[in-house]
Amino acid sequence: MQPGKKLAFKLVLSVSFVTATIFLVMLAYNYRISRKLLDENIRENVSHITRYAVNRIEGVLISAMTIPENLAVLVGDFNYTEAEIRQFLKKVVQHNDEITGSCLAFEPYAFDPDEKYFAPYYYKAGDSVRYENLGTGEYNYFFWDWYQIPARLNTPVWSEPYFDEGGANVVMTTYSVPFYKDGDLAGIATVDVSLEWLKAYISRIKILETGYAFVISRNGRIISHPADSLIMNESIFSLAEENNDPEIRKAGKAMIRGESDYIPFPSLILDEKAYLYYRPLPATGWSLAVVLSEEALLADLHRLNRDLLIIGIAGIFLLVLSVVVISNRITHPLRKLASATVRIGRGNFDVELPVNRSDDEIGQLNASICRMQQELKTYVENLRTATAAREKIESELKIARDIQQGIIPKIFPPFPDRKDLDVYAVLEPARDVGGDLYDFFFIDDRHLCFAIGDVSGKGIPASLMMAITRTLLRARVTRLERPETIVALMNRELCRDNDKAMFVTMFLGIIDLDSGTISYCNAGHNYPCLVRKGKALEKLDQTHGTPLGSFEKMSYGSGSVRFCAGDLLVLYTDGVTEAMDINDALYGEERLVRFLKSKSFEGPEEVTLSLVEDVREFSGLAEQSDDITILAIQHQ
Amino acid sequence: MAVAFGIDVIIDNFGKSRKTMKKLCRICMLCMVFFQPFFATAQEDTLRFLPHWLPQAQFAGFYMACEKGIYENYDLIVDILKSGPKYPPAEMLASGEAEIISNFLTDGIIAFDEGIPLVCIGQISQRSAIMFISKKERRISHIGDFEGKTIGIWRSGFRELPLALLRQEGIDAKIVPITGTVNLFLMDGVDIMCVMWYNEYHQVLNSGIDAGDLDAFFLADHHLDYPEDGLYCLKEYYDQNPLQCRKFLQASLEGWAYAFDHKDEALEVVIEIMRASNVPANIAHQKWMLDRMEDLFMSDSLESNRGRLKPEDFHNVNALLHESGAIREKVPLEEFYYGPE
Amino acid sequence: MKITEQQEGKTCIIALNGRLDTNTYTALEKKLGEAFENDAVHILLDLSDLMYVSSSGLRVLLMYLKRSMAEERKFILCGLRENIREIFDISGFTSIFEIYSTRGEALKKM
Repeated sequence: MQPGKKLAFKLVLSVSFVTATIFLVMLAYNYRISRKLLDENIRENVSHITRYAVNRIEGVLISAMTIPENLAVLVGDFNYTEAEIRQFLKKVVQHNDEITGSCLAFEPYAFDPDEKYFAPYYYKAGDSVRYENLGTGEYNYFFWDWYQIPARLNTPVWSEPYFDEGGANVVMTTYSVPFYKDGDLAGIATVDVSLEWLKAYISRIKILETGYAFVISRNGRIISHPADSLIMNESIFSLAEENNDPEIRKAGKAMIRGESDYIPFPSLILDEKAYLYYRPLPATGWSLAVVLSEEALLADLHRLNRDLLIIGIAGIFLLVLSVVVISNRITHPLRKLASATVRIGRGNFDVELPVNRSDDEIGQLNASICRMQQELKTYVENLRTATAAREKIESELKIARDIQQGIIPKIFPPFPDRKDLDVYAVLEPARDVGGDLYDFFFIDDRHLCFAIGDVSGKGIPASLMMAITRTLLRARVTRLERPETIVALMNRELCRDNDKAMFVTMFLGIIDLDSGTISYCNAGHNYPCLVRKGKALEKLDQTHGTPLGSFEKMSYGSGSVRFCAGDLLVLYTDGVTEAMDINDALYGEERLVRFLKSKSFEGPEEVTLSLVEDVREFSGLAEQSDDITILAIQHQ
Repeated sequence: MAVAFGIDVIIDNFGKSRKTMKKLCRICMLCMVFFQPFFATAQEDTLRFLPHWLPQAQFAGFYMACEKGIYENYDLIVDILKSGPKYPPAEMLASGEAEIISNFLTDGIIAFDEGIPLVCIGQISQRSAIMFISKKERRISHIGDFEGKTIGIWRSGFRELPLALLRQEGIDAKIVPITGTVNLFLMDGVDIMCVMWYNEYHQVLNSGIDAGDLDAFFLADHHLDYPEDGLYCLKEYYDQNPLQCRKFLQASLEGWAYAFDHKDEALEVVIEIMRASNVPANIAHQKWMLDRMEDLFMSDSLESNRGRLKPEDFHNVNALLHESGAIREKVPLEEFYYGPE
Repeated sequence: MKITEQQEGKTCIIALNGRLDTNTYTALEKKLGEAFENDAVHILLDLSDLMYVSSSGLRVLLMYLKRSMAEERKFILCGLRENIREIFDISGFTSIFEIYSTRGEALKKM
C-alpha cells in the first residue's frame, strides 16, 4: 500500500468507526426512549379503549339485569294470577330488545299449593314470542344451574354462557334473580341474553393492525373472540394447557379474580410476541382482554429505526466518500512532494515541484519545500565554493606546515662526524598547524646552540610567528654570545608591532662541550629535565623572564649547569605535559619525571621515541590537541 | 349386457351367483314395494350404536372403529347415533331406536331390574373414575370430614356408587342433586362435589383451580373400584345376532386400541364430531379424557380380561345396588351377561 | 568556561570558572574588551575556579595587561590555584602581573 493510500485508509477507518459508533449509540438510545414512550402511550390508550368497552358492555348487561330484578320485586310483593303473570312475561319479552327470553320459576308448591312445578317461560322465536311451561317433572328445573345456583347462593347470578338449545351456535347467558315471599325463597326470575352482540362488538375492537379483544367468563371460558372456533370451546386454561404455557394460566387466574394488568403474553392467534391487557367486567365477573402484537406495536418504531438506519448508513457512506476525496486531495500532492523531495535528497535540485497555490497546510508545505529547494540549491552552491576555498586554504596550510617542518632540522644523526654529542628531536604536529619549534646548531667547534619554543595559540599566526622566531634565532646567533643577550634581542624584535600580544616561550641554551657546561636562558618555557649519567634527575627549574614578545622591557637572566659525558638533557613543550586522555586528565610533569626515572635510555633517539610512545599510550583515543615536541641532547 | 354378464357368472361360479341374485331381489323388494317409510330405521344389516352421553373422548374407540373401517372389516355396518342427555340409552334400546348402547354397569343392572330385557355383551372400562373433590380451603382431608357437609351428586345415573361410599363410611351429609355442570361447586354452592376423573375433575382444573388447591377422594381407594362403561343390547337382538354382538365388541376394542395408539388422530375425529353436535370442545380437555380412558381401560393388565365383565365385580355391584334398594332383586349373572367368559 | 561579571565601585570583577584554552579564550577576549569599553576603571580577574589555562589564554591576559598599562588602569589577578600559579611561574608572568591570593586582598589594593 502506498503511504498516501495508507493515510486515506486510516482516515476512512477511524472516521467511519467513530461515526458508526456514535450513530449506533444514538440509535439504541432513541429506540429505548421511543419504546418506553410508546409503551406508556399504548398502555394508556389500551386502558382507555378497554374502559370504554367495559362501560359499553356493562351498560347493555345492566339494563338487562334490571328486568328480572324488577320482576322479582313485583312477584315477591304481589299475588298475581297465572294469566296475569303470563301476560306480564310476554310483554317483558316483547318490549325488551336486549333479551331473548324470560322466565318466572317458582319453588315447589310456592305458586299453587297443589302444583309442584310452575315456571312460565316466554322466548323469542323469529318475529314471534312463544310460550313454554318449563314446569314439568321431566325437566325438573330445580336442579338446573340457572335456578339452583341463585337459589342456593341466595343472590342474583349471571350463568356461565351456554349454547342456545335451538342450536345455531348462538351463545346465551341467563341472569337469575331470586325472589321472596314473607322472607322465604319463592322462586327465581330470569332473563336470557344472547351474546351475539357482544361477539360482534368484540370482533370490531381493533387496536393497531393485529390487536384484538376477547372476553372470558368467570370460569375462564372464552365467550367472545375474533376466532369463532375458540368461543365456548376453549377456556384460557385449556389454551394454557394446549400451549403448555403456565404464564397463560397465571394470567387467566388473575383475570377471573377480577384483576387488571398489562403483561407480556403469547398471542393465541398470532404466532409472535404480544402483550395482554385485561380488565374485569364487574357486573358479570367476566374479564375483557386485549392482545397486542409486539410487532404491530413496534411497527412504527421499527419503521423509524429502519429509516434512521438507512439515513445513517447513507450518511456514513457519504462521509467515507468525502474523506476519501479529501484525503486523496491531501495525499496526492503529498505523494508528489514526497517523490520530489526524495529526488532533491539525492542531489537533484532542479526537480520540478508540483504547483499548488492553495493556502491550506498542503499549499504551505509545498511552498516551503519550494523555498527549501531554492535555499538548498544556493546553500550547496555556496558550500561547493566554500569547500573549494577551504580545500585551497588547506592545501596552502599543508604547504605552510611542510615549509615549517622544513625549516627545523630533520636529519638524524645531525652531526655524524661528532662522537661527543648526540641529538634527537621529534615534532609531532597536531591537526592544526601549531607553533612549536626547536633548533640546534654549532656556533663554533665547541659550542652548540639549541633552543625549544612554543608560540602561544595555533594556526597560521602561530606558525608564522614560529617561522619568524626560528629565522630571528638563526639570524642573531652568528657568534658566541650570552644566551640572555640573544633572548633579549629576539624579545625586542618580536615585541615590535605585536598588538595581538603573540608570544613565544623559549628555552635557549649553549653547550660548551669542552668544559661540559650549559649556560641557558628560560623565557617562560617548561622546565627541561636533565638525566644524569647515574640516573639522577634534575629539573632546570629557573625562569629568567617572560616569553618572547610579551614584554618589551623585560630583562632576562641566565643559568648554568654542568653537562658531563653521559648526561642526557630532555626538552619538551606543553604538548607533552598537557596531552589529555579521553577523560580530560593531563599527562603531567609527574608522569614525565616518573617515566624518565623508570629506566636507563640508550640515547636521545630512544628516550624521544619511547616518550612519544608513552604519551600516545596515555592519550589513547583522545585526539592530539597540540604539537608534541621533544628535543633530547646527550653528551658522550 | 346384463344377460351376457349373468351367463358368464353362471358358467363360472354357479352356487355363489344364485345367492347374490337372491339377496339383490330381496333388497329391491324392500326398497321399492314394501315398508318404504321404515327404510331408514329398519334397514336390516345396519347396527345402530348409541353412546350413553354427549360425544367426547369417552367414546373415542367407537368413533375410531367407525372412522378407520374396523367395523367394516368385521362385516358390520355401524351407525353411531347422536347422543346426549336427550337420548337416554336404556329407553332408546327398549324402544328399538338403537341396537347396541354403551352404559354404566350400575345403570345397566338397574335397567335390567326395571324390566328392560337387556343383556351386557361386553365390559370396556375396568375401573372406577368417580371421585369426590373439595377445595383445600374447606379443610376436608379425609372421608370422615364429609360429615354434615353439602355434597353435590348427579341427579340421575352414576349416583349409586358415591352414595354407597357415604353409606359404607356412615357419613350423614346433605346431598345436593346436580344436573350436569360443576358451576355450583366453583361458586362455592356446595362443599364437596362428586365428579368423573376424566371429565368434570379436569373441567374444574380448567376453570382456574389448581390440582394442588383441591383435595381428591377416589372411590377406587375405598374398596369401590368397580367397572363402569359396558356394552348392552336387548336379549332378543342378542339371540338373533350373537355373532354380530361379539364382532361389535371385538371391533370396538380394536378401535380403542387404535385410538390409544393414535391419540392425535383420534382427538381430531372426536373434536370434529363434538363440533358437529354443537358440543363445546377443546383439545386439552379431550386429550385429558382420552389419557384417563386409557388408564381406566388398560388398568387390568391381563389381555384376556379385555372386554370381559369379571363375575366378582358384577356380584359386588349387584349386592351393593340391592343393599341400597336401587334394585328389588339381585340380578342373576347368567341372565345378564353374554359377553366373553 | 563560565564567566561572571560583578561591579564593585570602579572595579569590574570578572570571575572565570572552568578551562581557559583555545576553545574559550575568545569569550574572555570579548568580555574583557567590553569591560575596557565601559566606565569601570579597574579590572579584577578572580581565577579561584579556573582549572586550566593554555598559552592562548595567557596571550589574552597579556594583551589586556598591556592595554591596561597603556591606559593606566589596574589589571589584577587573584585566587590562582596551584597549577595555574605554576604555569604563571614557569612562564614568568608572575613577575609582570599583579597577583593576590584572595579577592578581598586584591580589592584593598584597588
